[in-house]
Amino acid sequence: MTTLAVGVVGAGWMATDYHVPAFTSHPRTRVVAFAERDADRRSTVEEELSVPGYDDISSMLAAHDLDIVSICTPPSTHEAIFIAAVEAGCHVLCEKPLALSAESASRMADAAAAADIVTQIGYLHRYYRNYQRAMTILSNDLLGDLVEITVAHHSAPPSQGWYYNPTLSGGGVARDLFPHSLDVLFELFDESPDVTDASVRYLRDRNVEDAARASMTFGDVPVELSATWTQTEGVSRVLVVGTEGWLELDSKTLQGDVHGRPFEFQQGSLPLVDLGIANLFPASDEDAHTERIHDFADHAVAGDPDTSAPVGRGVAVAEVIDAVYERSGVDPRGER
Amino acid sequence: MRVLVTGATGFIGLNLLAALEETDHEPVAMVRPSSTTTRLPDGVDTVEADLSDTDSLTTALADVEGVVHLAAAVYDTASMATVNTSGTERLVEAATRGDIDRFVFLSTIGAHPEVPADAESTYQQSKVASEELLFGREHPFEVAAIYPTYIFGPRDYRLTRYEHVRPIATNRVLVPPLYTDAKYNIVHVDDVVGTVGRCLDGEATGRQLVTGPNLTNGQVLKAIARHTPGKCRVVTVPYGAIRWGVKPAMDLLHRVGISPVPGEGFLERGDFGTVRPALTEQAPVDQRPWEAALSETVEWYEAVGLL
Ligand SMILES: NC(=O)c1ccc[n+]([C@@H]2O[C@H](COP(=O)([O-])OP(=O)(O)OC[C@H]3O[C@@H](n4cnc5c(N)ncnc54)[C@H](OP(=O)(O)O)[C@@H]3O)[C@@H](O)[C@H]2O)c1
Repeated sequence: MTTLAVGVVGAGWMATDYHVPAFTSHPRTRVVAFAERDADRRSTVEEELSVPGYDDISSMLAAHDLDIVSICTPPSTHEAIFIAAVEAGCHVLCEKPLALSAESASRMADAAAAADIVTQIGYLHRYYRNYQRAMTILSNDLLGDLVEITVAHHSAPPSQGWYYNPTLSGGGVARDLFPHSLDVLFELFDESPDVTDASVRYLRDRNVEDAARASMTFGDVPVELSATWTQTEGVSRVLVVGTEGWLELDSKTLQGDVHGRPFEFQQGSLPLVDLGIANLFPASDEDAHTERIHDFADHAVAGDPDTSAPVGRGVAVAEVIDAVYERSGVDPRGER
Repeated sequence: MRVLVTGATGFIGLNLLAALEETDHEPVAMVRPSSTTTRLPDGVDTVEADLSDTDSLTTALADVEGVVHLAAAVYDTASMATVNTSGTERLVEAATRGDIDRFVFLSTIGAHPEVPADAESTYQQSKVASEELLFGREHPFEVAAIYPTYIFGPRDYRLTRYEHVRPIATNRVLVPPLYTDAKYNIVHVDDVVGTVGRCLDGEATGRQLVTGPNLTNGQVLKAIARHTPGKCRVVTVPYGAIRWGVKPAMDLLHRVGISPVPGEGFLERGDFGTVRPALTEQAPVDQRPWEAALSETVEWYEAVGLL
């Protein structure tokens, strides 16, 4: 059985905590090299992983015959790395946000289309079991006709400095957090929304917005999105209302009601014991990060480009986020 | 035959439309503006009408030869008299004026003349009131009425059977008070829609029972458990143990504030459609096993993400 050789670009926590362990635990992939610009970090990680580190993607590509490149660097670097990887014939897993703008994302999509490769953007939420269950419930029309959807995603302010530099990040919290929810919404509706209203705020006087909200319609269903960097422990919650019921979920709890009959799941599972007045859920081994990376690896091994979120999805998401900034009257890539 | 189907968006209606796709009958789904039409099979004709509006019914009947009348208020007690009784009357009258060959009505087991009706049940009484209307007078069309017991099967979008399954899927051991005592007579929804088909074909007319075997609580709950993820063990206890054990225990728990309800409710003994032995397992079609009705309901809940 052949295994695919993986090169990871960017050796931050996303790479060392998630990408490297997941590609290592997948039976058909192995990490053979990484690239990291910072020399100190590079030597630390070289020692930790016992694989060679390079200072950029081109030297890594020159030294190894890679099958997969996984991109864990800040957004401003994605386009060049992505294009170099696909031109070398590699399958690519790229962290979100895909790019600084929809234009940049489109150039990446064009490059991918010209090469016969598999791509996936690193959206996470759809890999939570509650989200998968909710998608099954919704795609089977259990709630009747959808009336409206509200998404609230509030996380801790990121610790790395690049998030606050618009030329590196392509914007603030909207660029950072909206992609996960938009990916799920695209999956549900299978069409692009109209952004009807949006605004951003600078609660802590940062260089990029740390509060954003947007109103959009998918077909005739209004969707409200809001996101901030304000919390110590993050919360990301979705409320879906239909003509015959509702459901609300975060990654831990999914509950709802259809025609007055309630249901509840935790991490996708029913209770082990439900006494009506109290219930107990089974322990969960859920690991959405590993699942999304393994899912990509499975597709790469099979040569199947139809991943959960190919690069085209990244373009569609970037278009919505660009529209949100336009409606808000700000230039996400410029200084305030 | 082109047939108007009222209640097409309900549990039996959706199963009927799926089954009619395999036949020569061409359904026209009668819907209200508020109905969810996305679950109707692709390409099925629809017509907007309301049982409270005679003109709308007359229009809906204009180009059909048959009527299958399923629409009813099944849970909303307040609208049972107006929807189930007056609504049926309006539809029969509109059909009388129209050019209709067959009229198939979905009644309920308690409204059959040989089954004692529950005088307390507004629902059953609303169906009993249609008997006279259908069988006490002459009609320019053939009349069939179907009397099913307790129906299970897929496409239960209103989750009317979910509460029979959920406690079994969410517990590893099921003992009272997690269930209350009940007896059942269960039929597969396929038997009901099959019977509608026979009536549309003219092979069955008049009153048609659709009944299964009478079943105990233990038989039903254990069958559900066999098909439900989680491998729940159902422990059946004699009613006396509920009477003298569970009720006082729940009363005590209620007094000390642990149980939100007292023990009284746990004495209820439900009867979901049982009939006297001579009337069991009747239908003008080859019947599907009652256990398949349960397992296919469970499978459907799993497929749509609810188990
Ligand atoms: N399920 C059983 O075990 C059982 C047993 C014996 C007899 N039945 C009989 O079988 C028939 C169908 O039952 P079901 O279980 O399929 O019911 P259901 O799922 O509750 O569906 C009820 C249907 O009736 C329609 N309806 C309700 N009020 C209406 C009104 N005012 N005007 C027009 N349409 C109206 C609903 O339309 P919307 O979608 O617009 O709400 C829906 O299509 C009923 O007559 C019931 O009494 C059922």
